[in-house]
Amino acid sequence: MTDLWWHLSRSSGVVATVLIVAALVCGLFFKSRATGVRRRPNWWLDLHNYLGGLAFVFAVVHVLAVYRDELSGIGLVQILVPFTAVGWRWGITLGVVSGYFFALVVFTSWPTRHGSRRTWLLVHLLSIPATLFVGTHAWIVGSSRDEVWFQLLLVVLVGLVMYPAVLRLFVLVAPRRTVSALSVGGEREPASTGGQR
Amino acid sequence: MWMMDSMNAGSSPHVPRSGAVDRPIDPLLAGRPKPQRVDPPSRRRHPARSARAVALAASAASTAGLAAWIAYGEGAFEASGNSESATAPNLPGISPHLIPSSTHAVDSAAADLATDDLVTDDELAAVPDDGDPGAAEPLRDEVTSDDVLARSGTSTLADGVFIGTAEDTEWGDVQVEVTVVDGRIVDIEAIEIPGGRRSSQINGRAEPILEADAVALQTSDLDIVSGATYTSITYADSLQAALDAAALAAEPPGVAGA
Repeated sequence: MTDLWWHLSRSSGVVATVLIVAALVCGLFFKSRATGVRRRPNWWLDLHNYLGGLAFVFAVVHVLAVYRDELSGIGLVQILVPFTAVGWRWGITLGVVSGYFFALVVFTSWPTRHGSRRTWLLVHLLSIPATLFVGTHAWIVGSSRDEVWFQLLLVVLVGLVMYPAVLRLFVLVAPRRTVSALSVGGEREPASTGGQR
Repeated sequence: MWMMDSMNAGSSPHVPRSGAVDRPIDPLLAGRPKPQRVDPPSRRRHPARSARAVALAASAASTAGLAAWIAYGEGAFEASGNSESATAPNLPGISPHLIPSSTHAVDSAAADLATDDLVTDDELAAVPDDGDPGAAEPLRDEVTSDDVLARSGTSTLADGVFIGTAEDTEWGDVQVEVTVVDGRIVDIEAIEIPGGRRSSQINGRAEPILEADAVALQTSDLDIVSGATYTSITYADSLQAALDAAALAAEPPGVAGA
């Protein structure tokens, strides 16, 4: 039972990583207008908001469990200040920096949006490098990094992020007519004029 | 009569067909589509309410389940589950936190010499022979515990790479390789150190501390790293053995036997 906090830190870290990727995927699909016809866009946005907050909560659980684990060598200073950890210095630093990024993203969006839209958007985009840092942190410091299931999970998560990310980049680059033709679910129906259907 | 007439009349728009219920037609709704469903305010605010609940439940269950599965895989539920921090090392009547490192290192080195377990022949063979006369096999039988006790932290060391003894722990061996340049320790590499997830986590933190201390202080008289008791002790033992080999290699031939 002395390793309870260690086990909890590992599991909460894995779950937080999955939630972060899920939130990012939902946000990228929503922003790309590629949410399909089965669910309304506001459904995706609501889920994206919730998953982001839930990911932050589980990240806090992960940090608390690491702090409570007496053998981790991670204290308050190592949690708050980058480059102060002994052993896996870069791995821990990436985790600390990604934590700060996610805190910025969450608290500039909840409970209300802060700042101008442009400022808010720039801060919100920090979630992308933060996700990359989280993945690298898990790869370097993760206690399960030598296990096949962990490596497969990271590969799957990378793949899940790549598709909507590429789609979003395509939306940014391609002309609008091409985008509407390629949106999931086919072409959009013409706007109703109020007549009979 | 007028009722019979009205029932039989079929051309009037207000005369119902046979079996049909007479329903007045609202002129305001005529020709308009059916009104859409109006969601309650809570559903308008959180359209993905069910998905949110599923995500929360799945996350909590995954965390608990994964922690239990990891613990099971680590043998945490076994009766003989051990961890480096669970019990004090099996030193005769001495708690590790009360042992002055210097005394322990000397006693350990003396014990090693007494059991003729300084540097094995195979380990010496692995040391590159640069023509240094000290690289030959040390006169192990000639070294006594008095010589060990007489050694200070910084004795004359021969240049080269020296491998210490493989110190056994419950989770694996600890063995270090020391690089000496100009009589000073410049690098220490743990060529053997317990693996496994928990040990890797502990030793990944402890090894850099031990190496940094040893290089800075130029001695094997190291403080025990908290939470890495076994690693600290065996690391110091192996390091001392390597330094002993380096010191013996630095002595002119014939002096060790005097």
